[in-house]
Amino acid sequence: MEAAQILRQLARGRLITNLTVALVIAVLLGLGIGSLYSESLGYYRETITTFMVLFSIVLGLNVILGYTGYVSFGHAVFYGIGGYTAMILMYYHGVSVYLAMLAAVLAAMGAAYLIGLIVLRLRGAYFAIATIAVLEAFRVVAANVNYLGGSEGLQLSATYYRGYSIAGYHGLMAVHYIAYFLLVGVVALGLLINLYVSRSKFGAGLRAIREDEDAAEAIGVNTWKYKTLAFVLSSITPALAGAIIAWKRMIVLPGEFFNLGLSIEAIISTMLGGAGTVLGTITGTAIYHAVKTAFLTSFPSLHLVIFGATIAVIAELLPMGIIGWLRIKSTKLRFLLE
Amino acid sequence: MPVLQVENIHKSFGGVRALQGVSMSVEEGEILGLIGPNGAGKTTLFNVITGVYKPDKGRVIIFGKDVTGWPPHRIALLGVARTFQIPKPFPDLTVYENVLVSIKFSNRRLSDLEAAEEAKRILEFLGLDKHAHMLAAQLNVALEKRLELARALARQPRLLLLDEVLAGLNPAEVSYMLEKIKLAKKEFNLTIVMIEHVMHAVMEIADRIVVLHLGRKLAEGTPEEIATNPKVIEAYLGDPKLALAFVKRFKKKG
Repeated sequence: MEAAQILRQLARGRLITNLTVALVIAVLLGLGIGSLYSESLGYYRETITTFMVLFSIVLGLNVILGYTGYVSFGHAVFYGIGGYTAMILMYYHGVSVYLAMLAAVLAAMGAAYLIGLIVLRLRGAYFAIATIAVLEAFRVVAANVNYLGGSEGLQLSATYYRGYSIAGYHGLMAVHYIAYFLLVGVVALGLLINLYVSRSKFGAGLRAIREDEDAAEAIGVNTWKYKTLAFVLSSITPALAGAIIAWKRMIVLPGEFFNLGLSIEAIISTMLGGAGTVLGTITGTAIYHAVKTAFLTSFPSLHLVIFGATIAVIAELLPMGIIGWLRIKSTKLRFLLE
Repeated sequence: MPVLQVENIHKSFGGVRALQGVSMSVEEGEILGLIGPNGAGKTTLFNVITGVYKPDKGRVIIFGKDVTGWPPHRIALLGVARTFQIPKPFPDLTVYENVLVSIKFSNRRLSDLEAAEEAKRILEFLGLDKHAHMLAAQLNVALEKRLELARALARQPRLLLLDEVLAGLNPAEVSYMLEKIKLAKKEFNLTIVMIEHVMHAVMEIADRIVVLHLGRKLAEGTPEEIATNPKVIEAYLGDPKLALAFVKRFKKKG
């Protein structure tokens, strides 16, 4: 294949990805706007809100797990840090949710940098275990420090929400809608981050680290700087989602915000779609969330069993995920599916 | 000015003294063979030169710069490339992608098209173009070794360190690689240091040979001097007749 031909194929693949990303954001926005005017869409708004929370964590996780190859098993720690930081500011200082989100993302990035200094020295399973330990440590601290509300958490009063309004809804009535649109913004940001990583020299360096860290260093990749940056980048969207959900639920609780289960769901979604691909994050999270919701409603008492079995089957048959599997099927698909 | 100088390098791992005061220098355009029995410290010396290990004592000077203690990527960016004894390709990237990443990090400003063309040129040079879109994990040993060399050359280095690129190859593959190394040296104006156990090959290609034994330099000289050096024969080459055969080969060629 000629060099020019390869570039043409790649460009076509990028166009497909851009269009898919644009379509996803348009559908999310459309549903949100629709729900403003039609009560019957309320159920979908709430389901998609849960989907977007998971998606925000997946989009962060894909940078460190997918592109860099570091299985961050406790990635919800950044969701928790974001939620708690935002809640502290809203609860004690009455700060608006927007400012709280900004503080949350800065706090999470700072925390990612500091946590990274320690855990990024480890590789493979040791790294994964260390990230679980970090998550648990944060949970235990949150559950035992009075300033953070202890095991009962911090709860905002209804009066806090007076100032918020959207399209004729005010106060607490407006929160669900505003949270929805904020999450669409976070998802869009996460997708942009993933597109950047996928196409940049930075991302090429991360892939080299994932494949072989010593060889990456030998071809001139500053592996320490790159993986630290990747870890910091991966904390952004989870932290923003945490801040928004803390505001929407009015409460932060240690077990819900520093939640290992949520971390695992994000890992499954990333792997199911194909870690280290943009389209995989969308596919994986959408399928995971749809299947989970379906099982949850049709087999309320058996859904975890069916779910575990499904995951085992997928791990056995599609270890590279759906997009990852398609990408090794043919050269053409490899160029087309980003 | 020598391209590479190592001065009095010491390196221990716990109680194992892998290098005990090794010094050598490599001139521009030279091919230096680095030989010695297993455990002599050859790969350790490579790892010290490329910054993977920090020496306990001594200095490494590359292109006149003291790089002792620099991290590997900074040394690489000076224009140093290496291959690994056990090949370390990027397994889940294609052969083409392997080479392309290396080009991207080679400090050259290339457009996407220029980079893609450069990758193609390197792959053709090493006969890998037919396998360009295979995953590196699917390559056999001979192709894997070629990919190691391709990825190193893609950086357009001035100093190339080859760690047993000929190991595990059959005679036809050995002569193919030797041809390519000679060609690459000319085309890219390379200085090469190669660790090698395939004696007839290293004797043929090297301008000068350094013999390491138990972390010390045992001998240094032209291939002919090394092949007839009694200390080297005793420590490494083993069979005096075999050593003599190497010398005869030279005489015939010379």
